[in-house]
Amino acid sequence: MPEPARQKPSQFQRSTPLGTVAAPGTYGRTDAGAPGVIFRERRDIALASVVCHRKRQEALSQALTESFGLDLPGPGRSATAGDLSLLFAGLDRWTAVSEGEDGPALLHRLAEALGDTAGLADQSHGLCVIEMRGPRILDVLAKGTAADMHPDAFPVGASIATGINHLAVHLWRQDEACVRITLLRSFARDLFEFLATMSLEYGYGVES
Amino acid sequence: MSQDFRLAEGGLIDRERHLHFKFDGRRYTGFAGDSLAAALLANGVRLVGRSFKYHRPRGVVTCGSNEPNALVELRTGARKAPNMPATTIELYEGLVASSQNRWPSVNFDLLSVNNILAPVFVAGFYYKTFMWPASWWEPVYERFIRRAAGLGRASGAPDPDRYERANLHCDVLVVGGGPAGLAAALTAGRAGARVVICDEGPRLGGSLLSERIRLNGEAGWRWAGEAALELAGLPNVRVMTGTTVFGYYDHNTLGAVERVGEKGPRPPEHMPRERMWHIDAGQVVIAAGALERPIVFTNNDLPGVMLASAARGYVNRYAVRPGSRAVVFGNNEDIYATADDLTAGGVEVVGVVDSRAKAAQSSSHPVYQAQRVVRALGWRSVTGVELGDGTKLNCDLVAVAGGWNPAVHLSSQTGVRPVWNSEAAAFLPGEPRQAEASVGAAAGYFATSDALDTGAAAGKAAAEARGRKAKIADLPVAEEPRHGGLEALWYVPGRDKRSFIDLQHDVTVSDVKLAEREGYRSVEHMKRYTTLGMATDQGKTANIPGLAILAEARGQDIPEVGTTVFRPPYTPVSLGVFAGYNRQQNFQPVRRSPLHEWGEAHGAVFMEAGPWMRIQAFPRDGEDIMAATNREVEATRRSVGMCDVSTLGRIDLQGPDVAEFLNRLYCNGWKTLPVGKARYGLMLREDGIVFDDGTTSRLGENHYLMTTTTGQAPLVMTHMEYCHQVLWPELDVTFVSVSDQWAGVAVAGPKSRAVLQKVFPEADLSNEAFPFLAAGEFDLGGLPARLFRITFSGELGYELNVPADYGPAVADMILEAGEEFGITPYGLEALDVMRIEKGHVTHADLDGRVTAADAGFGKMMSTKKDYIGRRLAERPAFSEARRPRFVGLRPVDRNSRLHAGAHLLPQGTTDSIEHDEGYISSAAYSPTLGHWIALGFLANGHERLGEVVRMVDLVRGLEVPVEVVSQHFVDPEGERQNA
Amino acid sequence: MRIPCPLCGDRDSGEFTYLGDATVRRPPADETDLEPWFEFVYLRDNPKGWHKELWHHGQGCRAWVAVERDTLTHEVFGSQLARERAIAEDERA
Repeated sequence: MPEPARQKPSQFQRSTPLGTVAAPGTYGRTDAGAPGVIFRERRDIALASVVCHRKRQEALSQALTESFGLDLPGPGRSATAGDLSLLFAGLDRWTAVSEGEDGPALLHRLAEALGDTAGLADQSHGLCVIEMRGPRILDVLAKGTAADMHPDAFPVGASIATGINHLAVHLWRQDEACVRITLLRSFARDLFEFLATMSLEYGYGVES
Repeated sequence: MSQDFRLAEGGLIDRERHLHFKFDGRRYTGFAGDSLAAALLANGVRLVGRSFKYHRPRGVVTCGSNEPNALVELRTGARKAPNMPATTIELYEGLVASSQNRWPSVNFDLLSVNNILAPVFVAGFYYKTFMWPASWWEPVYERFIRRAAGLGRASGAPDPDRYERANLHCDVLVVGGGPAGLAAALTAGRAGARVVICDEGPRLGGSLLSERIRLNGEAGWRWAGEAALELAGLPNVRVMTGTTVFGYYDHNTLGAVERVGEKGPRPPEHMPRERMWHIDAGQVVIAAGALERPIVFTNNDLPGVMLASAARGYVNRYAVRPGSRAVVFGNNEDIYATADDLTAGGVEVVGVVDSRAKAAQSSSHPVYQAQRVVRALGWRSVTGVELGDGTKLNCDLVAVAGGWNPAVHLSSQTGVRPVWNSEAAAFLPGEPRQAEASVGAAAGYFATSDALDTGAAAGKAAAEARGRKAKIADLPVAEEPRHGGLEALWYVPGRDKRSFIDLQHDVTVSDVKLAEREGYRSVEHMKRYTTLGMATDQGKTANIPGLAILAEARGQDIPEVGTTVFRPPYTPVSLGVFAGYNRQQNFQPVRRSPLHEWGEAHGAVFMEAGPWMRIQAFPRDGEDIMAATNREVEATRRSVGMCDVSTLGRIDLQGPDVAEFLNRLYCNGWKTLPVGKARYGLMLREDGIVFDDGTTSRLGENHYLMTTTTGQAPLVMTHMEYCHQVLWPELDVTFVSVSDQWAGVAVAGPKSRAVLQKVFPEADLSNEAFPFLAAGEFDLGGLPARLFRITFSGELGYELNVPADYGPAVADMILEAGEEFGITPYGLEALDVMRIEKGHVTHADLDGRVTAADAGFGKMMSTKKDYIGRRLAERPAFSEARRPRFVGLRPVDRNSRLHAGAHLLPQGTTDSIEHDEGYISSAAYSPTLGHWIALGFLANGHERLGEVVRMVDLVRGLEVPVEVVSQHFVDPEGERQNA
Repeated sequence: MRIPCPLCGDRDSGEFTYLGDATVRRPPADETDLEPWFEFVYLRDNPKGWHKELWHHGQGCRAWVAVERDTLTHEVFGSQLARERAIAEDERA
């Protein structure tokens, strides 16, 4: 595992998956007061995939607890300790999420702590995080996913893998009124356009 | 226009809100709360359409979604919707509708000549008449039929409105908002269950809205309103009016369509026209009510003949007099309530014709006991009836009560056959197969008190099945007119050819009898032969009488004849709502490279490649794609070019068993690949056919990066998961897609090293230090970058990967570094030309029929290990000499053009399939060679270099002599790529 | 149609793709007779009633799932991770 880059890549301008498509503003129905949904593309988050090696789940779990105070979350769940969260992402797979560092730094931190218990890969650029806040987010999501968005089935802290409008996504319910969608960056623009259209009737805002 | 047929008071309409509308170009006024049919009847409009085959005049028959006659074209222009039942259209200000299937007008229809020709149009008429000559079918018969028959016309213009789909999960779905459904929803809702209640109408209440029912001493609709209000106030209950549950599918999933935007000429801003709901229900309570059935008699299709329930509904719900002088005809007690309601509505009841020997109640109306209506009189609308004893009664309204059919549609869609109940003389729902229960009239409980009881009981059971404590809701005490006493009567013999069973498809008693005589005795055969029940109303008023008449013709009882199977949808559903968001540019999700906007900024033209939008070329001032491509190829081969290759699949593999895993996935070996090197790999399917190819690089001791083709990337991932999870779980390997993490730029051409040396000034990129197939990780101004010396063009070339968000910045950096060499960005077309020149295969060549040996990769196939596809690749058929093998082709006359898809035939043969020896899989104009070249597969092609064969393209009408050559047109020895 | 995923719970069938009979077994690597390979790749029963099938939860946890199902009534009896079954068989062998 190479050392994390010391030199910040400041000479390069960073683009984002949604690019100019998600222009800040308010859209759709406006006569009903505050927008039902606020979208925000989160590019200030580091993401890494953590894939457990064969018969190493106990060791992985132990390493996480020791290094980060994190319990390995079971299917459909997430765990957070400090600035680091771990989201269930699939069979043997989790997504590590952290704010305030870049992908190589997160990867390095994880590699130090987890050793050979898991295969790690930086996904900070490969995945796009679309944050949705507001009173109508679950109504909008229900227009895309067949998974149950009711609070009983999708409570705060839930992290599920499902599909929205034929695209594979992960949904993480951070709190009552905030869901983060994580998906492949190449489909991010398509998904955003879909979600924005589905939000028209509630009115929506885009924040940068 | 005045509403001459509107009663002075009553009805669930808002007389303060006048609504103006147009029908067939004439202006009318109605009230909020009206259906279009009610508003038309209020204005005395009784003739609303012409029939399907005979163009007979038709009027309103029902008060609901079972309407067979009053179908109209709603709206105009691109928003026009054909075949909309006027009985279900909510009136709104500015509504425009027109009658259908008439020309030039509904009052004077030239094609009503078909009515006179009726004896010709018997069952099976089309099958019998339009048999020969076959060549007449399309030019003559089909055009004739299309003009004469058919229903409304589609707009022909793109639909300007939006449709969407949504998902709903609940403990209890209640279908129908009548007394039974309300009782069920209240009981389950009060218990805290997640309840959804749907009703196709604009408000909850069902029969309480249209019948003279009193609950707790008040009008039933008041209780319905209170119940609806309570339900709307419960946070765990969702009330959906204007929503039809049309389909019941496996595992208690149901389809419903919500008419969001049908309350005005266009949907409200930001709203869809319709929304499709996919409902996952723990328990389903079917409270869909019952549909009244007619009694068939001669001329029973004249405007003015309607179902008794409809006549009551127009009086009670809409305060509309459906006529002035009425005859009520029927076989059960409903006729007396009907006569009472009509009288209360100001209609003179001139006769109650009771087919039974004896009535259960006395009546103040003139009763014709044990009599039948044998025919209706009149031409454009009914003017009277004739009874069996010859009595003639003058009237303009005939209200017919033939009994009730429970709406068993949804329950039977689950695969449950309805069961005949001779007491009710109706089919009832069969034993449920899924978690559902039918209640109220849908289960044969026609009395309101029974509907309330069965609904509440089912609501309780459903909530309890979902783990809730429930108790039966307090139910109101119901008073209503007497029901029942039915003595079955299906039709009155008379002129069978003018006795209509299926009003929408013009199927008569005579048609059904003829079908039976001609051997179509099975109910399914009779249905298809006569088309009974196959119109847009799906025979809601016609099926059971048709069945009964068939049974009589066969001399059997109804249960012996059986019934046809109900399938979704319950009522017609527009196609747009099935597509939802996924139409036009949203037909499928679009994938974009991290260099998409960079490409746009540099003048790229894009093309679709599977889900991807890929850069086709970068045309400059006035160039077409071919000119741009030629320039891009020429510049790359002369100096240097760059191309977006971000779309390739990239899979990151880690663990001690990766080499073994690769060994089993690919046909070639991986145990000897050193760290820092890439190797080309070929993946087969288990049947021995080529699946995918690409390079895999070893980045570290236990760390590999596989690349796949753009198109197959998702399938390769799924295949690897299958292999790892199902076949070889013992291998310790982890893998994850990192396709999207990296932006990929190919830099190719003799000057590519010089360009990259400027990008990585501190790296040693000499041929010795970083040779062909080298792979390494580098720091690029603080970015983790990966560089691979691989090439698809055959030139000296590299592929640079950087974290995707920095792709555009790095691409610009390369452009800048290459400026002194005239670096040229190139697109997919140039990439394709160069790989054809080099003789590399792509998915165009590897089309799912090609083996590794066919493609010239026979030597790659290891004989020392197991791998997917090994054994069946060894099957004898794959080594036959005649198998088409991969070759290059060039035209003998260098000016000729070659085409992919054309076939290869030997010289001196006819253009027939037995001489077919292969095909061209890829063709391109080679700017490097100055003529067209092609790749293809030719029988035993490896042995035929130098031979001339014919390219035959029957689609384009071409024949071109082509020479068989090596597929490596450019740099066959690889001197350029290894330089 | 709903498919029970051992990890994700009941999900809509649209999240899955279908492969087919989960009871067929790849012949051992050293099997040189083509007949068992032919059977493994091409021959499938088409049972009426009970069937065990492989489904891939592609828009979900990406697990291959062995689902027991009645092809006539469409009733689903249960499911397990295909990997668990494969490991169990491996250890038995």
